[in-house]
Amino acid sequence: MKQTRLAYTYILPAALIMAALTAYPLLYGFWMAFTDFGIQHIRHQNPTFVGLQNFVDILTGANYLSFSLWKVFGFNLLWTVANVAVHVVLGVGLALAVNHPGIRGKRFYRMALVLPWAVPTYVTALVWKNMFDEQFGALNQVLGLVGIAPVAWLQQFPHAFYAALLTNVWLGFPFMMMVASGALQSIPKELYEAAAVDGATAWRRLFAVTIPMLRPAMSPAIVLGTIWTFNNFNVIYFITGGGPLGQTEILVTQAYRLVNPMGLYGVAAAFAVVIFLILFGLNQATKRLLPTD
Amino acid sequence: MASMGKIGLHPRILLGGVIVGLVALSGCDQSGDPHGLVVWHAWSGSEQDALKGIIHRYEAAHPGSSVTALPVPFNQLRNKFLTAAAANGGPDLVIGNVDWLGELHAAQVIRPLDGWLTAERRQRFLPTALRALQVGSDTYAIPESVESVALYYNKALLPQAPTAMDALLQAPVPAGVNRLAIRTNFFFTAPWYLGYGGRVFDGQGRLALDERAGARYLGWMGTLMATPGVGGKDDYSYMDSLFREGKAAAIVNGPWALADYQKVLGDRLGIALLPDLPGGVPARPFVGLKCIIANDNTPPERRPVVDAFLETMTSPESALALSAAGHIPVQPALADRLPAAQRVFLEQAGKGEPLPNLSAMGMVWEPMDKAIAAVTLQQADPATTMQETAAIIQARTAKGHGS
Repeated sequence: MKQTRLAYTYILPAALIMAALTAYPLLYGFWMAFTDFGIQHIRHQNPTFVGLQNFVDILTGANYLSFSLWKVFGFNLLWTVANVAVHVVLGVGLALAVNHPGIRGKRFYRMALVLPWAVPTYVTALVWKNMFDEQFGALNQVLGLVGIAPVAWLQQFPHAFYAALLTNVWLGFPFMMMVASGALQSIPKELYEAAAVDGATAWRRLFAVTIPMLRPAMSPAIVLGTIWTFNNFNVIYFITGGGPLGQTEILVTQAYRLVNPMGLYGVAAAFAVVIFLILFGLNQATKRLLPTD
Repeated sequence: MASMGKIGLHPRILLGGVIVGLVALSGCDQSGDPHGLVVWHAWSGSEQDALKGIIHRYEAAHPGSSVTALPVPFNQLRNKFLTAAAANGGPDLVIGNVDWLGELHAAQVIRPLDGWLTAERRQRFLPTALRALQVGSDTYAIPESVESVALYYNKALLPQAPTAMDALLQAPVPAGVNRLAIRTNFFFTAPWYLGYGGRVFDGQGRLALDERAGARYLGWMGTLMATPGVGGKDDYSYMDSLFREGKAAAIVNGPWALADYQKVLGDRLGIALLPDLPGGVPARPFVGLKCIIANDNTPPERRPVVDAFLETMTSPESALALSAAGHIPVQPALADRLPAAQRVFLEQAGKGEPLPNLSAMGMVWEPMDKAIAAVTLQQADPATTMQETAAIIQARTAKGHGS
């Protein structure tokens, strides 16, 4: 009992700080979701309790919001699935290539392919945004060299989606590549030898040995990648700004707009609760689809 | 675990020490200097240099005082100030726009400055400028400069200043050069909405968007952006760089860019009134004010320091230093000393419409920006788009803010 009390005493300061920094804002935000909290309530906090009205407005697409939660959620899902799928395929593919015994300069390739991860997202997004410029961007200049007319990448849909996808793939594949690369090192060579003795082709060895052995490492990476991509504010905000006309907004960027410029803090808090519930559900579904054991 | 009791302090003493430490740390005050002042602004380049000069002059005249000027990106400045001030923090002064006042007043984070505006000081400024900074019967900011967009043009690419949009859009320019660079948001294109007779609020401060004028304006925007030789999107840096790099012959922009364009183009820079719309309809820009706003959180003992800095900041010497950086002072006594370029902006401002300071104005910008995008990027019907936009603005105003 004395030892338990001592242990609690030592963790108490950190627990208090965690409670202040994490739990309090969460609970405060949850409370705000049920009020009409606006700019006029920031200083003297006396908003009116509105019950579930904010949630009803969000779920039914009230006029003042000028967006549909379901459309934004649908695009958010498409954005997440497309990104994670490409990240995993490209990351694992590159890890297999770099891990091939016949490849020289493995260290150089590993370092070069990790560089996109090392550059701050903000910088990457702004550089890619300029590259997508219709008149002077690098991409259209390259397309012009092969006779293709300039593309208004960011001014039409689905081109704006492809632009954001390309940027996020560039940013995201190194993580999957590194996880896969590490996991590949731990696959026993004997398994491949045994498969070869049994007459398995290279493709058969990939699907029967490599991928099942990668699964324990890749499953949590995919779950993490899903959560990060689902909430990837930076790429959408800096590349497309949610445009054109809100067609590339994801839930977190849409939530941001509820605060700036609309100043609808209560509605934004309710939106955050909705996003949390959606993400929680997705997380549970992903864990069922990708068991780690 | 048992050994910890032997080696270390008794747990209760340890806990007590931690709590005392936390309480002591919480008493640390970062704003301990009673003569220190913090000013937030969104100025850059020549404007920022001019502000640094003003601060040096103030510090030299007030030994022991210090002023910290923190630049914040313009699109974040209002919200950051609002957030910080609402949490009982923030700078002593923020240099912002007239249309922020309604919202900041509603959030109760700014204080009136009628006490500083003695009869003598009031005479320093244009009466209309002081009236524009009133919310209710109190004045909530000190005017620093007047702003309205006009037409800059590169004389090497466009020898004559165009007086009509038709002439501008047909002017001969070198291959690969745009005739006009324009930021396609409501502020920069409002001269055409207001030119077609549009308005935002009525005389009683009630929302009164003119859907017919709005439909004509959006139709014009659709035509303009589909015209070859017009470059633009809702991106200030992009539009600005087109003109600086000689990829646009003309640009609609404000006096804040004057000093930097003069550096880049020198004698090739021309400034003219905004060309008339087709049919001889004159363009009427929003006339805004840059103003100095005081945080309500500044403790009473530091307010005399704020007052002293305001005196330096608004002195004729400081106004002229900022004028050299492209700002147009709102001090009538300095009108004769302004360069010819700034007099064009003043003339343009005289043909414009004051930018409303009502908090509901914050509800207008984004939906109108989206309306422009809908018409220019997706060829939406202007009349329907304007109708839907007006309905959204009305709904948002009713939901979040009052006029």
